[in-house]
Parts: sequence; structure tokens; C-alpha cells
Amino acid sequence: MIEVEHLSKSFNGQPVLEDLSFSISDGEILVILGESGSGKSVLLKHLIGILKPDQGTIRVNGKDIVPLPERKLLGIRRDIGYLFQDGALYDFMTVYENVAFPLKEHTALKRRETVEKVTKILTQVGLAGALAKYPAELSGGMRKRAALARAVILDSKILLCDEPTSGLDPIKSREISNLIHGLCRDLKCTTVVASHDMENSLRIADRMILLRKGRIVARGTPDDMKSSQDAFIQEFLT
Amino acid sequence: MILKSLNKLYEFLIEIGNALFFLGEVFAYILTGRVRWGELLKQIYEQGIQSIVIVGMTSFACGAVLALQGYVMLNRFGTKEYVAHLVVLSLVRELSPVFTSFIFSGKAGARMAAELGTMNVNDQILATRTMGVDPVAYLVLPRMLASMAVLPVLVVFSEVIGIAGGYMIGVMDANIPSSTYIHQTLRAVHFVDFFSGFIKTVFFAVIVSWVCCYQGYRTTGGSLGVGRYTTRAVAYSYMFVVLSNTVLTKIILAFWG
Ligand SMILES: Nc1ncnc2c1ncn2[C@@H]1O[C@H](COP(=O)(O)OP(=O)(O)O)[C@@H](O)[C@H]1O
Ligand SMILES: [Mg+2]
Repeated sequence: MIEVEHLSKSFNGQPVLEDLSFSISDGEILVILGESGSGKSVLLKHLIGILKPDQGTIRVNGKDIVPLPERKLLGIRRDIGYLFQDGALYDFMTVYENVAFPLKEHTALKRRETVEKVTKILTQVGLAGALAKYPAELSGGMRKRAALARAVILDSKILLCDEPTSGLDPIKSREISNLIHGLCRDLKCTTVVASHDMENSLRIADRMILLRKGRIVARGTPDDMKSSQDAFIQEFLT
Repeated sequence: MILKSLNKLYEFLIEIGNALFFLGEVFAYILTGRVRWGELLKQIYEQGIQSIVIVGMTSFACGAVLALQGYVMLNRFGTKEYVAHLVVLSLVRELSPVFTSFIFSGKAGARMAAELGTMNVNDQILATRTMGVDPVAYLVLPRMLASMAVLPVLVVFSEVIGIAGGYMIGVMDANIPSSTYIHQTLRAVHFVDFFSGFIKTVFFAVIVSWVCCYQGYRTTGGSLGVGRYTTRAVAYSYMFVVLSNTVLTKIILAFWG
């Protein structure tokens, strides 16, 4: 459960997010749609405490994370998976080591258990053959899959994805969207996806928010969106 | 105009403050004992291996040149045996600590800055935070501790090789008997000479790794930024090593003459 109330943020006097309020219930997939520069990444970074709002509260499972110091936030973030736009895998580690990293840091699993768990999740995302490869040797789509595996390896209850389909061709976009959808349903993960990919968003979202210049201009289920008469939504849909 | 320079000064002071805060954070981790030994050993290996050949070459040449020049001068006074003194004292007190730190900042320091900088612009440092791991503890601390372990060893290595370079010239070129040269070398260095060089080295290790890690850690602006902050890291390291060397020399001489 994530609840955002009256969230505002500006950089150097330039407002980027203005008075946003919304909530995401457990196990739900919320897609934040918006053109590039509309403030999607900034919003996601607030949800995990990397950026602090100028105003407003952000409650994660009932707890306001805004006033928490970094030390406390580090603990909270163990239960949150974050998928960066370009993956942000450690480039000095292999795919296997990258995905095993959170396990090594936060669990006392034995070596064999770690291998099992990592192999299982990498098979699930279709990277069983790339265990020993370095991120630089992977395609963009494969990097995103590996990063997705790393984001959910701790059985996170919350998953935040920043533009999971950007830079991918339509087929790869569809695949990774389905993967996120499947994993979330599997893990009963509360999921927030930032995207400008209307087609895949409509397919995987339970609910959507349309962001424009830092404000919410529309919200609703995919069906609501499709039947909306609003000019901006229609323009975005086509 | 005045306002502008005041603004610059203000920014500079903020910068110093941030850098000091960064160093404080690192030392807090050292004191609380949360050190990642695996990472540390990896860094020690990489930093050591990376610089050892060039340090060896430079030191040998440096010792040899000192002996060559020293011989020309001292021979005029008929005291060519003192070449050994000149070589070993110059190396141990000044040249090895300073030059090794230069080389170290150009190799290991640049590498640290570029690695951390690249990780920063690719969101890897942010990703570390999103995974609930403190990037200072995981990425910065092992690098800085490794520098503090590696640089002093490199300096001692440099001194030994430099003395060997001087010995080669002294014995083969200046015809000082081998036993005399060795005897003179051993007689020349007192513990304080070695110790003062060592203290300097520890300071330089902190300075170089601090400056380079800090610059890497705050890199922004893509690959251009990585280049800019890395060269800045090396330039600042040189500058601070030279400046602090002057101050430290003054202090050390005041105490031990
Ligand atoms: N750290 C920052 N400092 C200043 N401005 C920023 C910062 N991060 C984002 N912005 C600005 O906020 C706006 C929204 O950015 P972002 O959230 O990245 O958009 P997107 O929806 O494409 O993810 C942009 O205009 C960007 O320039
Ligand atoms: Mg973005």
C-alpha cells in the first residue's frame, strides 16, 4: 500500500511535481503515463526516498517515509525493487553476481541456495544462458531483464519500474511488459510503472494516471482511458 | 564583479564542507568497523598491481640520476662516498613519498575517480541505494582503505629500488667500492628520516584517495562529466600533495631537524 498526498517538488524554483495525490493498493499495478520530461522519474524516486518532496507525505505500508533519514530508508528499501531505465547493473559484475548481490547483502542464504534462487529467477526472465556474461555484452532488452531479476530477487513486495520498455522494439517491449505483469501477479507485488508506452500500459495496468507537466490530468482504469473524450488523452492514445 | 567572486568563494566553501563531510562519513565507517574485507582485498590487489611497474621504473631512474648528479658535484670536493647519503636521504625524505604519490594518483586515483564517476552517471550508485546498501560503505570505503594500505608499501618499494639505482651508478660508474656504498647508505638513514617520509606517505594516501573518490562520487554530466571530474581529481591530488608536503616538511623539520 502506497499513499501519496499533496506531493510537490521543484528544482531551482522550477516546479516539476505539483500537488499530486493518489494511492496504490496491495497487489495492484499502477501505470504512470506521461511524455518525457513530465516528471515520472522524479515521482518514482520520491516513492523510494531518493528524492525528498518540498511538500506532502508519502506513506509506504502506513509509514511516512518523508522524514526518515537515509539510514532508516536503506532498511525500508530492502523490500522495494527498483528497475532503472537502463538497468543500472554493476558493470564490474556478471549477470549472476548482479542478481545475487542483494541476496549476499541482506540474507544469510547458503551458497547453494543462492545459486538455486538466482538460476530460477534468471530462467524465469529468460536469461538462463547469460549467467556468466557482463552487462556490456548484453542487449538493451537483456539488461532490463537482468535488472528486473535483481529488483525482485528479495521477493520484494513493492516494485517500481522506470520506463521498462523505452529503447526496445515493439516485440521486446511487449515481452518485458508481459514479464513484469507475470512477475507481479506471481509475487503479489504492488507495482508502479512509469511509461510513455500507451499500448503496453493499457494491457498490463489495473489503473493508470496520466501526468502532464507535473500534474495529474486523468486517472482511471484502462477502459476509462480508452473511452475518455479528453483531447490530450485521445492524442496520447493515438 | 565583487558579488560574483563572493559567490564563487561561497561555492568553494560549500564544496570544501561537502568534501569534509564525505571524509567524515568514511572515517565513521572505519571507526564502527564495518569493513568489507573481500572488496578491500580486491582493491588492494588492483591498486598495487596497477602502479608497481611504473613506480619501480621511475624510482630506479630517479636513484640513478641522483647518483649521477651527486657524483659530479661531490667529486669536486673529493667526497664522492657521500653520494650514498645524498641518494638515500633524498629518496626517503622527499622524492619517494612525493613521486610515488604522483604516480599513484595518476593511475589508481584516476581509476577510482573514473570508476565511481561512470557508476554515478549510469545510476549504479543510485541503484546501490535502492537495494538498501550504502554506496559509501560498499564502493568508497574499500577503495580508500586500500589506498592507505597500498601507497605506503609502494613508497618503501620505491625507496629500495631507488637505492638500488643509486648503487648501480655509485659502484659501476663512480667506482665507489660496493661495501663502502652499502655501509654509507645504512649509516646515513636514521629512523626519523624513514619515519618522517612514512608519515607524509600516510597523509598523501588519505589526500589522494579522498580527493579522487570524492570527485568520482559527485560526477555528473555523462561521459563528458567523467572526463572532466577525473582530470580534476588528478590535478587536485597533485596540488594538495605538493602543498601538504611543504607544510608537513616544515612541521617535521621543526620537530626533528
Ligand atoms: N536532479 C534534478 N535537478 C534538476 N532538475 C531535474 C532533476 N531531475 C529531474 N529534473 C527535471 O524534472 C523534469 C522531469 O524529469 P523526469 O522526471 O526525469 O521526466 P520523465 O517523465 O521523462 O522521467 C525535467 O524537466 C528535468 O529536467
Ligand atoms: Mg524518466
